[in-house]
Amino acid sequence: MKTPLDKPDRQTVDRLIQRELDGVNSPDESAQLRRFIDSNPEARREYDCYNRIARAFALSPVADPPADLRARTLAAINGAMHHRGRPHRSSAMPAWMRRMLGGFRPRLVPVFMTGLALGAFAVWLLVPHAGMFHQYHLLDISHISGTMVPVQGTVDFVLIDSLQFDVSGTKGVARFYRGQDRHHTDHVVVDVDIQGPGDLDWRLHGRSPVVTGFRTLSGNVSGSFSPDGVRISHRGTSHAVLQCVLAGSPDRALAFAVSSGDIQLTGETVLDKGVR
Amino acid sequence: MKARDDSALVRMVLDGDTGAFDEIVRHYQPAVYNAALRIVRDAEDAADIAQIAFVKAFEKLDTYNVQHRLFSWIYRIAVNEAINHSRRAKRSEEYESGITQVNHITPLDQCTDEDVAKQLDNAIKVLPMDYRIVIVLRHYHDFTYREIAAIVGVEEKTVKSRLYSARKQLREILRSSGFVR
Repeated sequence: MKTPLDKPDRQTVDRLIQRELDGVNSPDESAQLRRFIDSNPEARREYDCYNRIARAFALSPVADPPADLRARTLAAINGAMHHRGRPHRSSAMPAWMRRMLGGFRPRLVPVFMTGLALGAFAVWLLVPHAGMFHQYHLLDISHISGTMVPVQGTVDFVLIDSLQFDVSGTKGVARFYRGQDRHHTDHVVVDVDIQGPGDLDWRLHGRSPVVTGFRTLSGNVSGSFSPDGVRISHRGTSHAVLQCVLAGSPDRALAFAVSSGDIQLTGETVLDKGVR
Repeated sequence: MKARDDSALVRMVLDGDTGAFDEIVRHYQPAVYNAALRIVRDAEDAADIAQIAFVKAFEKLDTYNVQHRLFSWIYRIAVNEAINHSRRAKRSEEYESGITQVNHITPLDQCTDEDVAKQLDNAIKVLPMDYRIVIVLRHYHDFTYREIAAIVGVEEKTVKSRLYSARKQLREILRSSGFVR
């Protein structure tokens, strides 16, 4: 039987349609709405109208963000981190202890905290450190030659790991940056900072990924490449940057070894923490 | 990205592996950008908002409560940023000034769903900000009432009420231009 909707029915239909659009009607409510729709043209018109709008929402195109938005964001985060430091876990102090100490606020605390912050800032200035994206962000590697896999365009490098070493008093840190080019070839930049009097040899080879080429971007180093990996001789205190290309699917580990005389240290970096 | 992956990534960042935040940006920024674009209606502004939202999320990550979904929390930051941005820009709401961009020349029976979708985009642009936000979060990002309430910072009943009113307004705009009956 087809009858016009009276005011209470209209309100009920309105409510049921809205809930149906949001997928929160119970089976009974859906059945009730269906009965209204089947028996009343006005309810049918209302339902069809909102249903058409709901379909239109689903068809609305999704916009691609600007190509450089992610890179810009990461650079901004890196800048913020340099200015304000990275976020840390909140205090693990139990709530009862925090409450107990809540009233204890000696006047020297702000002075002490300020001094601590200034001291930390001074240390931060003096100690070499790596931001998340360092200076290799959007590094142009379009002119690679020799044994390197030819690539085009730029690669967005992300810091994935760092290894500290101390061999015979010669200390240093190796930082690993990883990025993919447009052909999904993986590239690793190894940035080695060495501080100390000694000469070092270091080498790099892939366990699952195979290093297929390298080039020295900076530093007073001499190196050689073989299927076993890359070997570098480092003379005196300096800083070196090396870029490698990895074949296959480098989702495992890259071994890094540094030696001086008879002493050798090895470490590895897991690459799948970085770009996929 | 599953919820547990998010909390693992957050833990990694807080433990010093700041590179893990890249995964969060990579995964959520396109959606956040789209939400911002639909709210502020300008691509450059939306990009700025999406960038600022993630920078703020990174800076405040130690205040994030892992009991909540990470992307809801990031959306909340982005929506607040979009609202602040609009206030700063002091843009007049076109709906209130009676200006509408909705035009229609095609007979209703010949309208495709794509035509309606295009006009719906225009109609959303002229909704008041409060209505626009709930419509965008509900229909384009599929958030529940509870999630929208948490993102916007209002009660669930307010979300339902705003959705109801927003849909009514959308319908009126589309009906006045002949896209729906």
